[in-house]
Amino acid sequence: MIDLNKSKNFSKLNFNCDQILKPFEKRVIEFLQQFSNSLMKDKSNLEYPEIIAFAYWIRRSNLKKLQKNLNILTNEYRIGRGLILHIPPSNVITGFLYSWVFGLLSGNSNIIKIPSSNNSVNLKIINLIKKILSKKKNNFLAKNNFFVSYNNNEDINKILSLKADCRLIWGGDKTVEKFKSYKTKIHNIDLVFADRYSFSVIKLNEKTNIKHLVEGFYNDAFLMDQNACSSPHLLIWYKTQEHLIDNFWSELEMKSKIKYKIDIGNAFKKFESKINNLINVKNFSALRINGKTITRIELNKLQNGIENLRGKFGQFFEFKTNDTSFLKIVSKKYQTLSVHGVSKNFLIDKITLMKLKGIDRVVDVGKSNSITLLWDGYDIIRTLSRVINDE
Amino acid sequence: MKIRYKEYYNFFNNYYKNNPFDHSINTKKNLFNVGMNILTKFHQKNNKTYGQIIKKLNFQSNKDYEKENLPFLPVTIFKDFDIHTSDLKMIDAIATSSGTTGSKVSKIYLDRNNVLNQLRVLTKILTNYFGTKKYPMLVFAKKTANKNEFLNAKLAAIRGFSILANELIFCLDEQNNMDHDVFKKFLEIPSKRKLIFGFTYDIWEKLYLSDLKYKKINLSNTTLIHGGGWKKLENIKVDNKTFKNKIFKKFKIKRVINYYGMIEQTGSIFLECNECHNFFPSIFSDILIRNKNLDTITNGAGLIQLMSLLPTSYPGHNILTQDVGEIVRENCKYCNPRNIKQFRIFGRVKNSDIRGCSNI
Repeated sequence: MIDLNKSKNFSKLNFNCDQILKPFEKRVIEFLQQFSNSLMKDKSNLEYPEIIAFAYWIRRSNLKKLQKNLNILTNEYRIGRGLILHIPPSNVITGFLYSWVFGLLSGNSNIIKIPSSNNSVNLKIINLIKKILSKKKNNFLAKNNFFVSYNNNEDINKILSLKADCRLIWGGDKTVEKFKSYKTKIHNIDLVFADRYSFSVIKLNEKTNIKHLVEGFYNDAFLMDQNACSSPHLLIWYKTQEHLIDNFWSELEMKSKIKYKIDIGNAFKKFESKINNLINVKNFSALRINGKTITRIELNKLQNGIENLRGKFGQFFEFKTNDTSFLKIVSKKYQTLSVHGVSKNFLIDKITLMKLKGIDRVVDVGKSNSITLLWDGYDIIRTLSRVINDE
Repeated sequence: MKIRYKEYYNFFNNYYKNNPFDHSINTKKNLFNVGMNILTKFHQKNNKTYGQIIKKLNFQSNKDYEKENLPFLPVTIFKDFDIHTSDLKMIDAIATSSGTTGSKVSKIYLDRNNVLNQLRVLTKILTNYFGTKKYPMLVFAKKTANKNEFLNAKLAAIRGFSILANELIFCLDEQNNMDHDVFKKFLEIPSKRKLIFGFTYDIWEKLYLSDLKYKKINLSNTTLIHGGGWKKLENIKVDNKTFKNKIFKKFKIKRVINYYGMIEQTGSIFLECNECHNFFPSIFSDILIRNKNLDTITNGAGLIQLMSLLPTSYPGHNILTQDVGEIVRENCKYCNPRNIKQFRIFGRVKNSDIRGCSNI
């Protein structure tokens, strides 16, 4: 890791980025496979399910699958755009890794700003990367990928921004706004991943395997403390009977009672957010509690602005309906719609028909947190690479 | 007059006549519980926001609850919202917490009755504990003349504790350093007993760590009263015991009394027992400990919930704090025979990591 607080360290960076590759180049995929192996081998990573998930994600077989799903034409001349500056999210350990892999797979050189949180885990992973990159066959990557750290410093932000061909800016709206105010190269392309909101639409009937559904929903909501952009805060019950809704919640209560752990600091935050939501919520119908972990606020009407109220650590808003007019509340802020019992195509048709500005993903419940190469409405590989036309 | 204020007023004026440390079952358990219910209903009837929260939380408005089961609010509500029960035109002062720059501060809306009751109760607690005779008091603050509508935590504390003093001597200069001339003058005051008052960290940094060039300092006739939290001292590994020892070694001060209180519940403070050095409540306040499921516990550490019979102009009578503490049962010749609840504070809850990518 290069400490840019010391200005002499700037000379260690290579802004020339003389290595532009084709997307999904074999050498890159082989490197990622090695990286995956090393992450899996280290038993201490087992306490971080998100690291294990990342290690699975960068296996050769999965990357091949992702590549296939993208349908990039074989007769297309496509190469990376050059140097990418990554400003990853600070609260997810693996955030900087996914961002980097986006840059690698699209054939670019990368400068990755390492967030100051999770310092020890980050350092451990970066040292591991360094070790793998030091192997001779990975030398081509070592010279063009830099992990940097520095205390918040506008000047350094500006220098790096001016050197980049693309920037991947993650984080709260404030971070994105700050970086957008800096001068960049004339052809620079920004991919911004600002704060988003996600929700679920579920239809249950007597035949629904509720246990299985709850398994997936639990992972979507609780693995990230309901605080990822893709975690659901609102449940729309579509043409579903009351007693089935009750079954769903009791099942989720049982699941979370066994699996979900919260510490006392977050217990306070959970209580604070519950009371704040009760003060701010409009169209309140009822508050229901399932065990110690789940709080539900039922709404009698859906209105714009509900995305400003977030549940945390197991708090949900819910609304029962028999039609799809709920989609009217969707704004640009909406990212993931996770679905069960309703056809994804049916909903996507509605979204396009209604010309909604938001909802970039419609996925099955349980898949909210699975990152793909299409994210926040971007086709990442195609955007971070350029095509050379021969016609 | 506010709805049901009379009920509270009658209760409070009667209750006030008791000894502030009368922990008999009738006073502390039964009457305190009655008072908390009256106060809860008072806010419910007169504060629309509060009333709605309580209703949404499914509490019944005419039922009496045991104090463990009464509704409580997170202490942060006074940062996140402007919330008060008295009409704005009745508000005399807004007390604010001493938050760090950039972070939000608590705003406590106080009317005349509320301030009056705070002072009455604080006087009662302090005079019962320290005696009614007044002495010169050295105060670790700057002398400020202007009466501000915004009353910060430090000023509120000084105003409260000044009832023990017949003379207030402010010893910080414009740069917030101790003025040595003032300190020397304080040493020379011929008085049988003296008092020093300040925030814990100020006492440490500005008194204990300051370079005192004059020779012997004997303050063995002096009582040091301090509060405001240990957050900064925790970082340099100074706990209550170390603090007392060091202060004694350097200044010969034998009586060092820590207090626990917060701007959200000014008046009904908790003093440290002279014998066992644990904090204990008065009849005007109580403490509960809640675990991570927010169930009350009597063993082990948890979030501190504070109750006070004083807040009427704002709904701060029953709050869940961000402090971690524990109820203890230690042998103490003062606390045990009087059936006094002893407790310990471990400081502010650690800011835990939240997973996820959202920065809110």
